[in-house]
Amino acid sequence: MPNLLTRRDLLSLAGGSALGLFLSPVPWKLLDDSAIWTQNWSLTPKLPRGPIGYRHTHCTLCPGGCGVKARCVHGLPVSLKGTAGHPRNYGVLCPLGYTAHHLSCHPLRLTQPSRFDGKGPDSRLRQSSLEEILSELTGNPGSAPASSRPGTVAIVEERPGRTLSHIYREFLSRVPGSYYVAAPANEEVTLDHIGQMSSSPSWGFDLENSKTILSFGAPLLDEWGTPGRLTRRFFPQADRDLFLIQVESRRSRTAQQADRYLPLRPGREGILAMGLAQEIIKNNLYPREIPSGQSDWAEFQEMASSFPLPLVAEKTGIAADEIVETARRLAHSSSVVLAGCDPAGGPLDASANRAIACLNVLLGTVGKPGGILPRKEIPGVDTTAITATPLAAIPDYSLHWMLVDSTGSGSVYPMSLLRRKLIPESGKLIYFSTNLTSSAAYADYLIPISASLESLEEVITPPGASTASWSLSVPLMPAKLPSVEPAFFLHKMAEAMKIQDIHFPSAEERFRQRARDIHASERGTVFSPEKETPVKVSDLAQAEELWALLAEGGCWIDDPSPVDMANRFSLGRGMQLWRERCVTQITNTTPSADRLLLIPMGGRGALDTGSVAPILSKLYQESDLRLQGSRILMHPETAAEQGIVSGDNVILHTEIGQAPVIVETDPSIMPGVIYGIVGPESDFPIAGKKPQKQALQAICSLQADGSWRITEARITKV
Amino acid sequence: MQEMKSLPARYGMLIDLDRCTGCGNCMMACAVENNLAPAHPKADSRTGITWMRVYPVTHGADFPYTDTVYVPMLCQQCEKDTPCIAVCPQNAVDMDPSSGIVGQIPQRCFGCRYCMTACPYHARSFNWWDPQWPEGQEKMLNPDVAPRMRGVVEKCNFCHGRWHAARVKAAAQERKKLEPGEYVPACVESCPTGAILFGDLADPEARLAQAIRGKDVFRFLEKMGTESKVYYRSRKTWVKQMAETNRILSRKDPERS
Repeated sequence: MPNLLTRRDLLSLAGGSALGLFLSPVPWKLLDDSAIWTQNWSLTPKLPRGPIGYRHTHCTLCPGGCGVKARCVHGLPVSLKGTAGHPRNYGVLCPLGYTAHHLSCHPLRLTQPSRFDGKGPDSRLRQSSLEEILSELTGNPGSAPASSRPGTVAIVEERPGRTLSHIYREFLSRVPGSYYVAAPANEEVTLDHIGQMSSSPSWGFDLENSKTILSFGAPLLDEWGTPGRLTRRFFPQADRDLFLIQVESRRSRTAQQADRYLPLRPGREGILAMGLAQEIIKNNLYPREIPSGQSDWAEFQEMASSFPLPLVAEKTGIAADEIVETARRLAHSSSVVLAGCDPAGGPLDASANRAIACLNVLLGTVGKPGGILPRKEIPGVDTTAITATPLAAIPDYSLHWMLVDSTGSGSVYPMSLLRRKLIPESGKLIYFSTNLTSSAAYADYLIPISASLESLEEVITPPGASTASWSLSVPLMPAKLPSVEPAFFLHKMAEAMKIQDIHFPSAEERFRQRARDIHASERGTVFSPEKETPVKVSDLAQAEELWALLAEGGCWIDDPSPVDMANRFSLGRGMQLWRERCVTQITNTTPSADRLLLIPMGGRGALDTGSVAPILSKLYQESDLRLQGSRILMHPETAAEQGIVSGDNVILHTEIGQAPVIVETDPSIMPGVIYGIVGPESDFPIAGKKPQKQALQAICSLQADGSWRITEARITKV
Repeated sequence: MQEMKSLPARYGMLIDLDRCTGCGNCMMACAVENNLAPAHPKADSRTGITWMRVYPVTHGADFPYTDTVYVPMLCQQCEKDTPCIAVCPQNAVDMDPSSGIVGQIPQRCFGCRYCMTACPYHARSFNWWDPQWPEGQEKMLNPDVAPRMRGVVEKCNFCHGRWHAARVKAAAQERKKLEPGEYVPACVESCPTGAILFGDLADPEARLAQAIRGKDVFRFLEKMGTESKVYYRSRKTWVKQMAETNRILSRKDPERS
């Protein structure tokens, strides 16, 4: 009888198989494979495939004009870096620039013209159309045909000097009494004052050759001008020959690196500048030819004598010997004195800016290498249609509508300042924006424009540059969503307002014309990433050759301006008002003890003009390298006096309004001073509603001279 | 077919803390190069993903003498008794003998986070959430770097993909050795002040190998004996003392720390 399989045999087989299975690679391979299978989750991004190439263009997120080299896969950019050897940024970008190509996919991208319905915090965003918006605006009294009532509309351009600026001016010239407001970048404020005092309107800093720089608060090593311009000078491989003196009320990144730091309470910059001027005059440290080249020299001397050293030391808190040493150092080297704030803080008060400009003239470095040089305009600039009006000169509550173009801006006006110019209730603010940012959320109408690197744009002279330049921002990708070109919007507006005889060329038409104008001028050279040496414009036979170089990422750089040594400066222009303000400053006592000074703070992009890509969360959210909006920095002693500690939620009050903020203590801040971080806001408006909280910049006080940098504030606990 | 074998290297870095301005360029360039996703809404400085992270570190002195240094911290590429390699149960961490780079293999990682506990430099990040990019942005990710999923650890690998690409190019030109500057991680390339020097520590003539023998050069937590390949330099005594003692002075009040 054959052997039969018993139950025991079967059990033995099963048990042995199970044991043997674990000794085999099968289960381990399954475990391994399941780990790999689970990698293929539904959210796995499909990485781009295709040919890899490189293209050159320029960044337009700020006026810095950085040259960009993009690595592209299948025609789309996957990474950006600075163009090596570029005469503006020298191969450097900023954190925003590295992520510019992400902005086309921003989750808050505006998809079509939009409007806010309702008022206050309950107003809701709803999609609209260009026709609807134009129909409402043209029904607005300010948009009545050109022959009717004047003084009702304004265009605020925060990157003036483009070919688009000419279209804005042309349009406004047909609307009687309208205003064109050109917001200069912070870097240019000192230069504007020098232009006001001289026959040359346009100037630039020759920082490449300066030996000493005295900076009143300008973040020279942190988002000032074009990235790379000063860092390459300040951090050379060999010993540097630049001495930087930083005057500020906090030990900022620039103050940390400076050769000398002078702590100064906000609002005393004019006093220090005049004190330095008085030291230079008293000790005859100025060049001999200065008095003969300046009108109102005697009056200026007399005014400077109101700032004797002991009084200046007392009022500024800076030791007398430091002031003397600083004056001597400025006088004995090619030096530049400049004023500035980061973009959120806006300009210093006008009297301080004037004093600083005069200090440059006194030192004799205006018109000399290493100092401040005259700068020509880009060929083709036409500002004759309508002159620019300072925003402060527009009567409050007078405008029917205001159009704000803050794309690629160097500075951003606080929304409260802009809205104050509109007629309450009926005044409308139209905002060109790519995203629904916290700045855009204060507008009434939002017009979507193309995102960075989506459309052909121009890059004009960066603020503070010593020579003019011009380049193209060539698009690297097709426009993801429909957008409106600003010139097209104005064209439709002109049609609706029955304004005729204005030509609205397309962007490419305008830029080609400008290239022809540059070629015809025979000025300057063109840097090309593909060529070893710059090409002279005069060597190019046709304008098309210039266009071709620019379209490949080239940059036109103007020739240096000849220096007119006979340039005369009127130090006393506006002196009466200036004298009164300065004397008021020097004689004023310190602010009341319970009032803190609020200074808004925020770099480019932090002002929510649509240039912060989501991945910048690495800086703002996933680390504490940069702080998010609605936070205030104060000295621990100041916090202790207020009975608060780091991390507390408090309400910040000013005469304008209040804002809930979170406290962070920082021993590098001057006691009695609060730095308010204005953005980016961590709670973007969602579900179409306007933000509930008011941005810090909106509660800053607006001075008669148009500055908003210093506001008295107080704190209450929540 | 001729086999082309490159010469082994030991890649390292020297970061000059006196030159670092804390701009954050290195963090952003790294994030773009390595397909790091934007933060989850709940992410913070402890749960976010930053392969390169710059820490502001304050001296503690009062205004106006407060001194702040910015310390870029990344995987220190420990060479001896590499803690993360020693503890990983999955062999998901490995040092490449031909480059000295300590690499993370996400496909093997099952997220136990022993390596994060073991790492003395807090240089590793865990994917607490599925990484998500805004719609359409996946077309603009770097095709040379695989994205990682939720539940795995990731860290700096000196832009390993760039090293591979440089080796392939060198091999095509029949070279065994990379030229200086041929392989540069994204963070090094992006630094505007030249604070980060990168190179082959095994090459005695390389700039890096010479620079680390200079004055004021140190490593963080040197006494732990991990022989990290990331060096730092600063003339400030308090910075060197901090590197030795690991005492970092927080900007927050003691009540809140």
